[in-house]
Amino acid sequence: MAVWVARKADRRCKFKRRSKAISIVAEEIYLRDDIPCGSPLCSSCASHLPRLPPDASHYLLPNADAVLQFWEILELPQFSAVIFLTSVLKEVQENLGQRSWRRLRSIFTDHRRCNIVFDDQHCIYTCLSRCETASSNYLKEVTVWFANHINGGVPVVLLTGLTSTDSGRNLTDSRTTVEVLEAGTYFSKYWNHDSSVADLFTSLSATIIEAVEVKAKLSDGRMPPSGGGKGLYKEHLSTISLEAGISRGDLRVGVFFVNRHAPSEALVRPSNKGEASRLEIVVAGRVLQNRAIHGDTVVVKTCKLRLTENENEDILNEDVLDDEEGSRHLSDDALISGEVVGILQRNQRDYVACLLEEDEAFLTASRQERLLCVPMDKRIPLVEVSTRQGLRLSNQRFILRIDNWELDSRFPRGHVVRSLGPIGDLNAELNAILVENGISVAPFSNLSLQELPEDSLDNPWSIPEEEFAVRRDIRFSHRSCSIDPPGSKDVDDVLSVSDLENGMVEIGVHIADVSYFVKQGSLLDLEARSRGTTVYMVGKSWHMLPSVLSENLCSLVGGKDRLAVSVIWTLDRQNNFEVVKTWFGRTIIRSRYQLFYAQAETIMEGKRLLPGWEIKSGSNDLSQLQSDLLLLGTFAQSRRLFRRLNGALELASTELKFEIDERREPVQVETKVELPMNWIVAEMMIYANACVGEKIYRAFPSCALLRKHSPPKIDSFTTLLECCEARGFVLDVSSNKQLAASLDRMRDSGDFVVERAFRALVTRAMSEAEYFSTGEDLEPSHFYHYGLALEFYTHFTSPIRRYADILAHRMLIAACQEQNLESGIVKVPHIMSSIELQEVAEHVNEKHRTSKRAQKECNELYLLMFLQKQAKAELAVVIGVTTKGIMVFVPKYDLRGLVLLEDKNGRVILPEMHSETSEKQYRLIKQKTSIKITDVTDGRCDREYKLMDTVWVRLRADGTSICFSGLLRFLSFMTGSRAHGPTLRMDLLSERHPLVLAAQTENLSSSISQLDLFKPDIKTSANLERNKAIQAMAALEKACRISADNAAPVHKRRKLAVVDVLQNAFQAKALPLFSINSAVEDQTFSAALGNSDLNSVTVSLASDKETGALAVNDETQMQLSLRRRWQERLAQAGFTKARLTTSTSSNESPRQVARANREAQFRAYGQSIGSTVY
Amino acid sequence: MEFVGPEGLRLDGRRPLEMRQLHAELGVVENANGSAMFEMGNTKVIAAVYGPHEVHNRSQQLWDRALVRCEYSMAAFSTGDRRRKGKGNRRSTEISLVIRQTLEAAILTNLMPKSQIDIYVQVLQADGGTRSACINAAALALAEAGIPMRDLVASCAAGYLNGTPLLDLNYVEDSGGGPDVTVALFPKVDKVSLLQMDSKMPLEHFENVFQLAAEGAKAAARYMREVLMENTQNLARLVTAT
Repeated sequence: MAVWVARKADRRCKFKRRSKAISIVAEEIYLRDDIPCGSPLCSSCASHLPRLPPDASHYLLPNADAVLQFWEILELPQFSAVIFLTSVLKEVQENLGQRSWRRLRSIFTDHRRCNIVFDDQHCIYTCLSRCETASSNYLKEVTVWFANHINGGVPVVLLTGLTSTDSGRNLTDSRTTVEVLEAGTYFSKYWNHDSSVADLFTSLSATIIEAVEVKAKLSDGRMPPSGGGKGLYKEHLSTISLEAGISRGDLRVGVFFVNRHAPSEALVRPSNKGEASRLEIVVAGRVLQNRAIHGDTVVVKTCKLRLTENENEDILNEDVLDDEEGSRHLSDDALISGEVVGILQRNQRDYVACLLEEDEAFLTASRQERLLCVPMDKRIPLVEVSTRQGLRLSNQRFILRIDNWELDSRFPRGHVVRSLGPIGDLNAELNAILVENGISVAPFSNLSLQELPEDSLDNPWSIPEEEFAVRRDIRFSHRSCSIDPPGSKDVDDVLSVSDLENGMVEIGVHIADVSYFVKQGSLLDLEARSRGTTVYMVGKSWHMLPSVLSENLCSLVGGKDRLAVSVIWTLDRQNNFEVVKTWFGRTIIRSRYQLFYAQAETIMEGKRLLPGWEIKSGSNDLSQLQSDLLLLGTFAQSRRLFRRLNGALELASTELKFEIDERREPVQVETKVELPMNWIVAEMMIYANACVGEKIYRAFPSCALLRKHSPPKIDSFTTLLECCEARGFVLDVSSNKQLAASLDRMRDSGDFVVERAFRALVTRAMSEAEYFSTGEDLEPSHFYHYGLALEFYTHFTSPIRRYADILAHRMLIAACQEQNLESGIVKVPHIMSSIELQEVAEHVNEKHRTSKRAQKECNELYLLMFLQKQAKAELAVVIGVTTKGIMVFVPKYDLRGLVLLEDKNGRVILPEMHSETSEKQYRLIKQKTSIKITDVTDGRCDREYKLMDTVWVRLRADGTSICFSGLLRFLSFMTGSRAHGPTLRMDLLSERHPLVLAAQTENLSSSISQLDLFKPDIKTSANLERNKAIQAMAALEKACRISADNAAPVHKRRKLAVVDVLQNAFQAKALPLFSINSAVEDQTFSAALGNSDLNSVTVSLASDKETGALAVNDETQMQLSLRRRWQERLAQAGFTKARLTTSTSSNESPRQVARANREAQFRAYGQSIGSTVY
Repeated sequence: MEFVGPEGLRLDGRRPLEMRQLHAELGVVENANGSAMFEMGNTKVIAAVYGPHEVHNRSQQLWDRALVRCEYSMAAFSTGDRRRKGKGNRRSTEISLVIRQTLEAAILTNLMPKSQIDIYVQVLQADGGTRSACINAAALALAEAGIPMRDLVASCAAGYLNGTPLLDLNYVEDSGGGPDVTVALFPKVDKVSLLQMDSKMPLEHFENVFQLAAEGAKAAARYMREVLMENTQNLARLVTAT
């Protein structure tokens, strides 16, 4: 490669901000002639990869002013073939905020956009001394050089800023013409056809012109400089005094958090260097907030202030959907108050907003107007926008950017970027969620799609010959199947089983080989990296990879040859399925069956498949498949137990499933049911991930991408511990093992709603798992995955929908190559340097977080839409007590909320449909762990709500009354709900409320419909037993009804009947083990059983001779631990069956039998573990 | 801070594996037995060698080999307004020691017992890599003084910033907080006589960076040999002319 050709010594003046000194810096500039112009039209620079498109209508070369003013436009995807000069960029960087600079940077660093940076300072043909670079003539000369260099193949346009004087004069050289255009002319000439560019230009130019005018006025002296008494806000301190204050410790730096429920209330958690304080500074009121916007990094001056309890309550006393910040105030009574004196870093982002309703009424056509916009995020203040497009924006949601906030202006100024659609329109609302979370959903660029392999009807894609040579072909040696949710198109994992000759067995997890199609550094790779993950929303998803890959070529569909990356374990059947060998590598597979969970479950249990569930195969294959699934189940079980013994937690995650109609509106909400098959598959994936994690860590100790889950912070358990105390539980949070044990103890108590609530709350208290590069911190003990109790963990199993998995694939493959070289002397280059990897990990973490948040918001939106149509009654658990109400948690929807027991006028709200029609006066008395409703006259306690009580609440969506905090009404006025969408309201219901009764029957019918799944079996069972079976079914249904009848104390005899029914059902083979299991797990049912005062009952599960299930005939204490033991027993039976089917032929010696029994117990214990952490 | 731009150029326009401009002159101090000036870009160093002569301080005299002394100092004006003390501070003492040890290994001291060789090195202009430049200048000065040496000594530094190995760091890059590996070697025998590193670096990158610095040192050695050759030719021409 060519080296530099000339050296130039230069002197530069440098201004030091802190000491205000100007110093002279001598620097050298090495000039070179090998800097590529980046255009394919140029013949002399052809040796380098050209990046500018040859077919562009023109190349754009903006000057510094133009970039500063219009970089937002340049950011639009339409803009490509822009040439950024380094001298221009240098000037821009000095004048642009850090965050904006980072965004601008991605315009030219992103290879997909076909923009280039031309290093004019170091190019020998264009370099000039520093003082000359500022002049406009210099830029013109560079432009002319550029135009000549590419032989005038494409016109080059020099773009100057708005209000620039020296434009319009075109330069003519001997060979080419260069246009010098002012921004206005340029955009009208080249981009008139594109409305989004034109709109953004008009709204931007309006703000720029305005700013210029203001500046002119100030300099004329016609307007007094703000801050001189007339301004609303105090001027921010200068940078120097801020820095001095920070280093002295008088001022504190922190991120500005606005309280969602009281926007005039904000909180700063200072994070001065070397100061690990847990201090919270309250900034109350817009004046003290001094133009800070949520998320900004601000500097605050503190002053002590004592807030009384009452004022605190006022903050809380609002519509609460998610009251994280609010509740925290309660603990401290003394808060430090502060005032914002400077803003270090604005949190620039796109906001979704709509026009203020009052303003909208007076809109006139095509006049420049100043309008107020209401952002959707309640924490963001109203924004003033000056626009001509008022009419077009009315009743629309649009994207807004905030520009500045003047001293004398009540509102920040902003400009409109683009419109999303009418308010209330589902599409617009979904887009709004995406924008608010910063998810971009632009279609895949053409260039990246060109990298895809061809796959059409005439020319279908097939595996190239050379791949057969380098891959292990296991299409016929392994029996494989995929198990996914019904209807999923992107199948990225396949499980397989193969018997070896020596009695060993191989189990494999095969993952779609996405890294084969997505080469590192390709445009597709960049595209996938920037997306980070697939975003799933109700009824729609935005894929990380083009659908050709995600739904076809990569998807491991049944019956087709596909490329995969596999982890194959060789297991010793004789030795408790111990892993003898683990093999990693690239394979070719053909999945035999594409199953979904319920189907696989039915096959595993050896049931007849429901109509439509059949798979094309002989009966022989089916039994083979059944035994394979059982084998996988057993192996997964042992892995799970292993993790469990090491302290793995099982956390609850509620997934809502919406049924939507053709207008994509929700008609039904359900929570997903987890079948044993779900966790079996999940466990296999976890094990594969863990193995890969360890492998890549060993191969690349300083640059492997792993996933860690740090232990939760102790303070996050505070509320939870309070609740536990109230209920008399002991929650040991010292380690994950202790925590898991505490949760299990809680399960034994038998109250399912409470247990579910607890589990969900523990889940919330967990810190977030995140990707990281092992180079960040070389200490392996910091890699621990707390939730899964694994030393090493990574994500490997879903490369179609997660970018981190693609990286893990590349690392694994590199690691395997290293192993193939054996000698270990030849080093395989690592995939990425640790620093780069850290960046990617951070980016992917962020993407995961935002996509999760967007999915959650989308679910909430659908839930509220659903609740808007019909209110629902649900069981909730009291998790907090305030003076005016109770905090409840609804386990079914994973919702938290405040239920007010006192209305605005101070009257006590009693549960609806309360038996007594009350003329009485009530009063609320708050105690530490409970709240009482007492009669004012006689002081008798009418009702009491203690922590961890279960109550019925009504959930409904409310679209009307949103009001701002009563604490400070400064500047805030009623904005109407249309800007924010519906809100959730909860109120208490009495048990006799018709909604409650309806909910109970619904719960019941859903549990019965689960049983329905197994009804065909009843029909087919032997004639003699048929009647008995049907009887059992009926009895079971009846039993459920008993338990539903919560109000009445459950009769002892009835409970006996329930147990009887289950016995009968089992004997009649009418109910398979798992369905009894699920019946037991049904919360209301078991609550009815668990709370009984029944002393003992004989549960005899008859032996199932055909399948060899173990007979259990035991006295059982019908105590709190009933459910657990019962489940164990059932599991024991179930897994003995599994064991027998896998090793029937061997003649069992007494010793073997003993061992088998031990194993059975071992597994039975594992079975009692509930849902998975995944 | 970004030390390697998106187009793969460093702040001063070099590519990561390129050295700065080298320049050397011999015989810049008439008084000395040998002297040299060495420039690496904006770093400029002058070295003067006196000796071998009698040992001034008898107690230090070594009976079997020559005593080598080295004094390193920075001119007060060498750093612009970055103030650094001339000599006698900790940094100077350390660099004096480093230079002495590096060169002592090259000088055939046992040929000159009971004598002393003084090496004075002064930095006229500092812009990163002063250590290397000093060693190079001193080696040239020794050669000019005609002191018997095993081999020439040449030195160069390399660093690791933004995930890229960089050759011959200048001051801005040097203060970027990354590792800085200085290597001095005997180019003919290909043996390392000095290896120093500031800050820390993952082990797998070290090899690369070290190799790079060694390559740089060899390039410097080639240039130094050229300069010496030219000087010798000039001398020979002078001799034949007279």
